[in-house]
Amino acid sequence: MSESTEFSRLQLRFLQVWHLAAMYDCIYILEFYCMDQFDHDRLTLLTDEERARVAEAAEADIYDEAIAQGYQPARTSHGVDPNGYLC
Amino acid sequence: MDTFVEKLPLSHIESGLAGEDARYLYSYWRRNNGIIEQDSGLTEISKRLMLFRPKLVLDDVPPSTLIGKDTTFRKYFPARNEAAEFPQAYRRKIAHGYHAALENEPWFDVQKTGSLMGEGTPDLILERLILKFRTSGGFERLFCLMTLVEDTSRSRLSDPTHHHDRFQPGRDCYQSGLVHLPATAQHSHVTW
Repeated sequence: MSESTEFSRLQLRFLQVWHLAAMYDCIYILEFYCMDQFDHDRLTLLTDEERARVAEAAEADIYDEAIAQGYQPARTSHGVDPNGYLC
Repeated sequence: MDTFVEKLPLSHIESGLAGEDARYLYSYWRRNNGIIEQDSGLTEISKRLMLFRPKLVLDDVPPSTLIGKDTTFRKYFPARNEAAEFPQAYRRKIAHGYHAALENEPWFDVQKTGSLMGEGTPDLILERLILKFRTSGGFERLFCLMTLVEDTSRSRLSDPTHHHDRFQPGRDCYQSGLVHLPATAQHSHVTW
């Protein structure tokens, strides 16, 4: 990840999924998806684009479970923002 | 080409008969009482696992989430996205193992996919270990390790005139089957 204090869209996508996985104690799921795509589980070694791909693959798995456990995505004028807890 | 599913004793796993992946997975599950934490060994095995939501679906398999790239499912059915795409009769036949695992019963069986899998599909003999894991935060998944024992389509064992008495359902059929399997066919560890 770059050292800039502002996150890119790709970085945010991963961070939001990672944050939710951490909240619901399922980081291992992200590592499984990382292993499935890149043959290792070291998320920190991935580029921003690669991390975003992992997030894209894992997010339905993680969001569905979080919602089942009571997580409520924020609603915006554009509809449901699944990552609303960061907004 | 008869489909069957036969429960197997868990002692097969502990003794290593079901392969190293199954032994590691089951041992981890027992040692941690089904609680999963980050573990490099499990993550390595994950490429050979199918994960399912902990949802009881009557006479059916639960919805799958992650299907590892090195699973037999991916190898044999690259165009399919999930187990729910198999014929309903086949899914009904194999559903009980998932239901048992949902009740925290470790489930280990052998199955012959047979004709219920549908026309034009391979006839496979598979071992299946299903365990329910949860994190301390309550995130639950069913882990299914499916190991290919034999592709009988290739070995012509699906022809009823060949090896007629192998893999008959009932009375410890699988053990007797294993005895006759060539060494190379025992646990080739292609997992689905």
